[in-house]
Amino acid sequence: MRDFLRKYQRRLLLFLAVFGPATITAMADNDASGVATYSIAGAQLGYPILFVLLLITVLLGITQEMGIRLALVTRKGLGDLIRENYGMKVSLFIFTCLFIANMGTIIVDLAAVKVTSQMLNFPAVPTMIIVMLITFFFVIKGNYKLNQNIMLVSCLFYLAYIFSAFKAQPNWSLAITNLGIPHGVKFTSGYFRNYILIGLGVLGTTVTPWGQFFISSFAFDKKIEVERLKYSQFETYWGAFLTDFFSFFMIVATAATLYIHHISLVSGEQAALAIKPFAGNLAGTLFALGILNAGFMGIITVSLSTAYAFSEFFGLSGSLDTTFTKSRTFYLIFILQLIGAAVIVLLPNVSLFGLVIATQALNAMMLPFIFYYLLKLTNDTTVMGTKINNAFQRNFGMISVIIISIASLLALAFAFIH
Amino acid sequence: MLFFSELIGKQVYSEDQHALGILRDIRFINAETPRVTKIVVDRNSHLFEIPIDALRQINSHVAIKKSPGMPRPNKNELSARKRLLDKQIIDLVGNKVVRVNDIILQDIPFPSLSGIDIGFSGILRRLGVERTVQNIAHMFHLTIPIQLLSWGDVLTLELKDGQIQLKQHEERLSKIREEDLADYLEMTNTKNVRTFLKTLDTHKAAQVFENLALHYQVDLFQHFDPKRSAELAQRIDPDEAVDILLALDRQHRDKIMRLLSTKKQQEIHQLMTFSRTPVGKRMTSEFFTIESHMTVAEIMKAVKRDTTDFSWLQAIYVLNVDDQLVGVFNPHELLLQSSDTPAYKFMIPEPIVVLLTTPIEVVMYKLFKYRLSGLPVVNRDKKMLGVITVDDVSPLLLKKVL
Repeated sequence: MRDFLRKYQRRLLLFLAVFGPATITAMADNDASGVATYSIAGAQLGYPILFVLLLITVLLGITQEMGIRLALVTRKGLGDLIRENYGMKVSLFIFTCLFIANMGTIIVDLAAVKVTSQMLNFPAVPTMIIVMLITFFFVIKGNYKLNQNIMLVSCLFYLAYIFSAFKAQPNWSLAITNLGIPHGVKFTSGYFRNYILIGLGVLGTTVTPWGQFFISSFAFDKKIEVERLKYSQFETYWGAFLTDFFSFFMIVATAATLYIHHISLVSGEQAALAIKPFAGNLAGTLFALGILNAGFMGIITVSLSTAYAFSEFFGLSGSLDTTFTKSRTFYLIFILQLIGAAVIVLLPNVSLFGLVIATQALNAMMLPFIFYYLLKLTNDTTVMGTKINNAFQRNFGMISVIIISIASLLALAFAFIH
Repeated sequence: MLFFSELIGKQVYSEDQHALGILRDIRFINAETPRVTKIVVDRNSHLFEIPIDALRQINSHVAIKKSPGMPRPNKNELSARKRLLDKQIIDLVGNKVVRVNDIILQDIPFPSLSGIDIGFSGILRRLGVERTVQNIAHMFHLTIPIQLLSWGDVLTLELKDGQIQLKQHEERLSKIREEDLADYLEMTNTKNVRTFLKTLDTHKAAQVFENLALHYQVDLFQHFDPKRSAELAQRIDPDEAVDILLALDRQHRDKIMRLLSTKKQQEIHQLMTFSRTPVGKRMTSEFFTIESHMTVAEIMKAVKRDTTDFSWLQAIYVLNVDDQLVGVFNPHELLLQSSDTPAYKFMIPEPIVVLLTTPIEVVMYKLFKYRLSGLPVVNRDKKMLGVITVDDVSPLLLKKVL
């Protein structure tokens, strides 16, 4: 018995040593724009959207695992590998798309900070500026470890959603059975159209292009050895489960209140206000706090992922463990992107709702490209050696690329018809 | 000088105009001198190699000898595209510095890689928009810096691991120095030099130009329009400008001279007049002066700082506040003094001087009479113009002895 415990203690320690990148990437997928999308999904579609969530969780786990395996085996980030194997034009194209999509995501996250702080009766603009300053300080002055720990602590705030969901007194059996098969609503053509559109939004906010770059760069920055690959792989699956575990409660919270009472949402932040009458003031406030925290998490991870990707594509030094002077470009991109986003958020005439949709559409449409290169690289023995994809990963990946491409096109078509 | 990205994708023809395919890659020997050994041609997605000896010409397309012969396998060969292009450059301690944006090739004395383009212009060239962006930048009076890295700075052994390691620490790696760039350019023909200098802004071009050998400079002045030549002449060392201008025919020279600023015209004119007297023609402008109040320690520092490019330092000349020559001493005398002694305490005052108009025979007489290795040349105001050394008059002396 003692030996048994010791064995598991050792394994647990090893796991904790690699713990971080995958969980953070996965949890940051539930950034403010993520929360907004889940809330809208729950409010408009009710429990049946949970079915999509389960599929997305599997996809997230598999793709994140590929990303981290790629980084640990090659000791390079996804950006490095794309530039080295596919050249300048592809690199510049992908970076440009990533930059635009990330900019959109950061704007949405910052806007969420602004709006929710208003709801919580904090002064909006100062709160936004303070959050940004804190971010600058930690990223520039702090090292990898500090940043990781801040984000891990930040993950705890997601517990707020579980509380909100319970306060909403949902129909648990309906929620859980919908994970297996969508049922319990009238499937009209309008519902179906929304299902595709919002489903793609849920996909675009959970499985993200920046997440693919971020996980490889962040794992590389943590300097995890390839011998620890098994533990990191486990962490990716755990992270994928955890993030969608929380997403589940976000959807349930809005489905049980807003969908049931036919209150439609136009923005995610409204959810915090809208659920108050049904779930109580505390639940609403917690929901708002959760969004605030999600915005904070999002602006750090998404801005970092742009900075990482740029450094990798153009071969510059870029690590949280280096000084400002040494990785100047890396930090400057991080800062400039945040400041740019803040300026746009403060402009009075920007439609944030339109921006959320546009950003997620762009994210989702970029996914097939990113997956294409991710799959090509992880299927390539000259890159991966013996650690190439197995048959399941290969096929599942390929089928996902095709399905996402079709769904993207459908969504685009619907958006125009709409 | 040719860039890899300009070569790739060119059509390859045999001398009798048979299309062979598209050039995809080159192979080179991973060594101190990275010779190019083969080109890789793509014919309907089938790759084959052609030895570099068969290469006849590169212009809008690549021309190959009629029967190119079989390429010999070589295990030290690397593919430029797979092993060099886009790869990460790291410094000695493993810091990431930049990526290989393009590769510089040269064909003289034999086809080889001469360096790596690590700059923004390399990125633009790869995207095929270098010219366009440069033209736009010119409109706003901006220039896109060219950042090249000499092959000599690269640790060739490290190429195989997919990273390129530098021989030095990141901080010391500045942009390529003008002298090195000039060296590169001299390896190629003047036509390439001309096109390359065109891409640089005038300041940088002047710096590079100044470091070129005289016959290149003369050749360039003959080909540039007078305005461009004047711009360069304005910026380079007047001595050099005189050398170049004197090598040109009179008409061409006058055209350039007229375009210079009045001050520069006077300066150059004066130097050209010097060159008409026997002393002026032979004297060198390489001399080192200090002020009389400087201490030994300060002088040593100045010597270390300012005379690194001197061929030799035979004497240190002392000037007063009006820049008049007041004394001289040699480096040996300097070494004998304690470090806080000022120059006027130990210098030899009232040195022997000559004027520009002094007959060369008198100069030789003075050199031997006083057993000096060199004499300062001054004007009527006792301002120093140059130095005439035994070396400078030795050809004349030789003639007299024989």
